Amino acid sequence: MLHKWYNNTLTEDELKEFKLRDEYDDLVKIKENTDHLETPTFDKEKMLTAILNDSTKNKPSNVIKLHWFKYAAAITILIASTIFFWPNDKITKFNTSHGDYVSAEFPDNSIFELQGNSSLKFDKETWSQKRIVFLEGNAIFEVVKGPEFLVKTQNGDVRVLGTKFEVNESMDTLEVSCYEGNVEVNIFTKKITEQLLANEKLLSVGESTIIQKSELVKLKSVTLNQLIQELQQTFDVIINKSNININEKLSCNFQKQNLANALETSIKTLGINYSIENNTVTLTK
Amino acid sequence: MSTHPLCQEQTFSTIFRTYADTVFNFVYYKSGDKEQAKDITQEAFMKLWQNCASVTLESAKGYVFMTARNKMFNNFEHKKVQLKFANLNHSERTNENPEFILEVKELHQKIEEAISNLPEKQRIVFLLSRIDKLTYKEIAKILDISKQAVEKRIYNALDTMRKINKNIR
Repeated sequence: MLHKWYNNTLTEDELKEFKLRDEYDDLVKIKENTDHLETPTFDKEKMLTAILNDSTKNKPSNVIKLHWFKYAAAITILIASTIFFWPNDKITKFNTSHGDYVSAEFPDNSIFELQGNSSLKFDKETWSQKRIVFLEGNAIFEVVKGPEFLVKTQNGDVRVLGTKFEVNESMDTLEVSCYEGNVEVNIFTKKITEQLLANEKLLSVGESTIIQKSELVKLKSVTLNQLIQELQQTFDVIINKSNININEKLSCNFQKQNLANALETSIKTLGINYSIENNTVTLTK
Repeated sequence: MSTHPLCQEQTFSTIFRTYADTVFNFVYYKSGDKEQAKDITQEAFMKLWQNCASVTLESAKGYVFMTARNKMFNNFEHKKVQLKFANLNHSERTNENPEFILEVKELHQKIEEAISNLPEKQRIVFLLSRIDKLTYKEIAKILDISKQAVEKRIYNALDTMRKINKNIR
């Protein structure tokens, strides 16, 4: 009833009844006095002009507008030995200190999120022809379709055509996580070529490489300790490794579906026996 | 393939002129800060313009309000809100005697005071309804709440206003 009155949809009879209420006078006062209130004004046309002339707006071609995100892009990662020299005058640079976080856009609306303790720089002027980013540390990229997009790090390069992925590099480590689209990683020094799909990940630390695919995990020259860590994480088990030399090196693959099969194709290759009890695996020589 | 409608300046301008005031008011009701309301309105439409290709005409309104809402979550430190309104109804009757004008001014101040003192949720809904003359359904959509919630908040706002008014008198 109150709502009907408030929205002026009461019938005459209903209105008569409503008027008998104690609070009617107050309500009318409130309603009448708030009927013609006006908020502060602002210059709309000026704002509109500012928006339409916004220089950060770029208009990609129609195909890109509608479908860029659908393009599963191929990405190539190259380990390059060249060091890049940058002219200092026209470089845009971002730095983050520990615990810091910066999110910003490149001139073409591609997005990056720079994590703590990282630095990122790129050349604004040549961006439209060649998109090159020099990265130290950790950043997430979301790239719109366009010319070659290259992330250069001291451990290797990432080439992108349009996808979302993360590159984390430090010292002798390269970590690539693919969130959308797909990625091809080439590590020439290790002779590794690997396609990463969404939610897959490659980690290269020193000599060893760990590749987490959706179905299986590939390990190359890892220590037994690293293998055990991977198995524990993948199958959510505890692995009891007393009496075993955990620094022994090996290469192996294991499927993610079945723990016994995985142990068979990994641990067994080192001549180590295992027994499974509930959530605990015990390794014996 | 034809250009996306929202990316045409004319279409975008129409959308802007239609909704800019309500977006501005919506932020103003929440913060009581005119400059901030201006900034957020501009940012929200800027974002729409930048992403014009991926937003359909039908969802443009919702997109702008959603952006404005999110910006507010990020930006606000809620200080005490003091809203100011012009009251057209009363400024029209300037030929009344001075005593009456004073009374009207006082009442207007009381109303401003009462509105500013409403809890934020009630205030936004109440003012979107009173000033922007939006229907319950439209308010529900903007705030992403149910129509019943809007009804409840209007009811509570009227109730609160009544109580505040009593105390002032």
